[in-house]
Amino acid sequence: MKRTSLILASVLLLIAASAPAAAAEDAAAVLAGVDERTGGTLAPKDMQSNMVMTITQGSSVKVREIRAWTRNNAGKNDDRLMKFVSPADVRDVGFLVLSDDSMYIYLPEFHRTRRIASSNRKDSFMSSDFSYDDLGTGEYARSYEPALQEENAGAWVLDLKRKAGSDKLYSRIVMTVDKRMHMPVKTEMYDEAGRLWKSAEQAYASIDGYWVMTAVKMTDHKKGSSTTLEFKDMKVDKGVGADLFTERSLVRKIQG
Amino acid sequence: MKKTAMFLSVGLLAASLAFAAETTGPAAPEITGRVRLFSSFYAADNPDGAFFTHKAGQFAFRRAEVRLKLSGAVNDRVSYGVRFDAFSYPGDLLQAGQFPESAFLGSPASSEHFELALYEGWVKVGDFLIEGLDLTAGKQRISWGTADKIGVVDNLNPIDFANFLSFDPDYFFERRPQTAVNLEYYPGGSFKIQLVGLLQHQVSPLPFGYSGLVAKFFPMDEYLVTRGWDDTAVKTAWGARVAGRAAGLDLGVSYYRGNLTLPYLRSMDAGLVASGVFYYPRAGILGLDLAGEAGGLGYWAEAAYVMPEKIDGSVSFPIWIGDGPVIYTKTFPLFEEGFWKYVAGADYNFGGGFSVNIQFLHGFFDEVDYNAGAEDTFGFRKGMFFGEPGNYVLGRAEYKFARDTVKLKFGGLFETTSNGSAFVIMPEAEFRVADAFNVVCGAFAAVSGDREKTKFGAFRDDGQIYLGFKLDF
Repeated sequence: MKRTSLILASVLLLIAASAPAAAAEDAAAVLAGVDERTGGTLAPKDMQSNMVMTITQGSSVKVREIRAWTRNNAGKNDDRLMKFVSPADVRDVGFLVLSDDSMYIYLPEFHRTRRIASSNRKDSFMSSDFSYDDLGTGEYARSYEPALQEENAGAWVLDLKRKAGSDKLYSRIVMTVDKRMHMPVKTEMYDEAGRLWKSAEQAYASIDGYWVMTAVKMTDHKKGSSTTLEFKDMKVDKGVGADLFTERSLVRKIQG
Repeated sequence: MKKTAMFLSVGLLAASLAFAAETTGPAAPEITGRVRLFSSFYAADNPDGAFFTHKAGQFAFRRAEVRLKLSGAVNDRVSYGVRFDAFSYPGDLLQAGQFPESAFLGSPASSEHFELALYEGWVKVGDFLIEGLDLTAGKQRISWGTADKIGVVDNLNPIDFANFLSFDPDYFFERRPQTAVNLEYYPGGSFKIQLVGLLQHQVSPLPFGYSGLVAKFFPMDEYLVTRGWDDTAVKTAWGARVAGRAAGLDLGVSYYRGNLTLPYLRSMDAGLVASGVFYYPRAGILGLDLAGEAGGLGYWAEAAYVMPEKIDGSVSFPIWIGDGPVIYTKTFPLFEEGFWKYVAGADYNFGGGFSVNIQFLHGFFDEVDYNAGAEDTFGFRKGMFFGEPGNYVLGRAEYKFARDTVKLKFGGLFETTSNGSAFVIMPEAEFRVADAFNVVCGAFAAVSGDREKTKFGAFRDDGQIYLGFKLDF
């Protein structure tokens, strides 16, 4: 009896000791699944849409329109090309981000293309609650260490801690991943002091076999403002080539 | 003439090919534009300044500006852009000694100074003749080099010297579009080969009252401006540039052959009527440019090796030999055979709306390396307009907040030469009242520097405060 108790106790101890490791492994697998679907091999090869950005602060509501093209580079950052449609003072301004983090801006007033430093990723995107970094694909596993905070019938809740040496804006992210889509549906982002800074809620639609984000609402809890980004006329896997993500396209007038 | 005819034929051929190949119809043209008001006044008296004379509080510059731009795409390959700039100067309503009469009954002309300029008018054809080749023909701003505004490689778009002295920040170091044929070939990847032929000799607009300035700095009764080129198509300016990305760097090599866009003093005659000849020298300019980043710090650099044509300057004056005067002429090479101008800069965004930009410039846009004979004879030196190349550090710190509706900028320019140094500050506050409508308030002040020996110290008593309104639509 004594021997049986000893074996049972040892087994329980082993289980208890291995439980966090198993949870960590699950968290890593869940996060890897998110990365695969947002910017990896299970994500659309390319996307194009008309983005409508609505910035709300108190009674002030501002609307910006952008045409955007994205090309998925699995394992690397994606290529992005954006052409601003409104407001009028930024019309035809172009913004190009290449997978190696080279960023270029085209200023139509001067017909000039300028390379801009990646430190500008920290900046607000078009005065919204999004930073330039927020608009990139996740690739979370590269910059964050995940832990499973909670699991229920419909979702995993991951607690992501920024890895040492990463230059990401947020020190911690709490991400709710929908089990059916394996996509993040709610994300809370924390500042250096560990205070809640922003939160995002994402909506998806199934397009050509992919769960594709159709809207995201970002709330900045420090500023008390929010920005909703809607992706209209979304098209996926249209064979957008690498040649779209070049200076030539950046300066080209987009018809319509 | 033959060359012009060839350009026209090729352009017409391209247009007809493009239209024949079009698959989609033209989209409705877009009309966009800007309304801008800018007004500045002097902060102090300057009764005998080198450049400006004024009282404190006197208006320095006033203008209302309207831009209208029509642009669109005929199809996927053919696009166009036309921009008209109109300027009105309310400060010129009344001329001394004249009633503000209209030119005709019921017309305000002559009593309201007004200018209309074609800023640009171009047609762009993608995949012109071969895939990857884009042609832009017409009056256009040509993209050349990688520097942030203050460049030394771009000699195709002449500097707007008139606006430079208005100290209007929107036009500081701005350049003017030129009528050109611009071929850009993208063979694949990040590489680009560019060939530009100008259909005219380009000149920089000079500030109002420039003739008086010339007379002040080079005392003469009359002067002559010569072109320095013969007016044939083969003698216009052209440029070639190869650019690409390697090892994370954007690199470019270029060559420009044409005239410098500012007039330089070539000869003086100190006879009974003192006179001078100014001209636009031709030069070959080899350019190198790069841009990259390290650790979030963006950096760029441009270097230009300027090789002016070998030409003599001269000074003539009478000497008395025997019973009468004999004209003695002394000649000397005007420029050094070759000299460097360069700029290097960096910028960084610290987050939270705070960013900085700093640049080091050797050789302002007007500065050239003269031969010692020209320096001795004409008095060219460092620390003067059209003088020898000096060194400048330009910087700007910017803080934006309240959802980018407020921008506080602090710009500075530090001039340093062996003749002395000068420091200029350019603070500015910008308020975005509504989308596409901004109000700016700022100042230009040379706070230190010798008035005689430095370029910007000469503006010590010309400090200005300005106010601007800008609406884009």
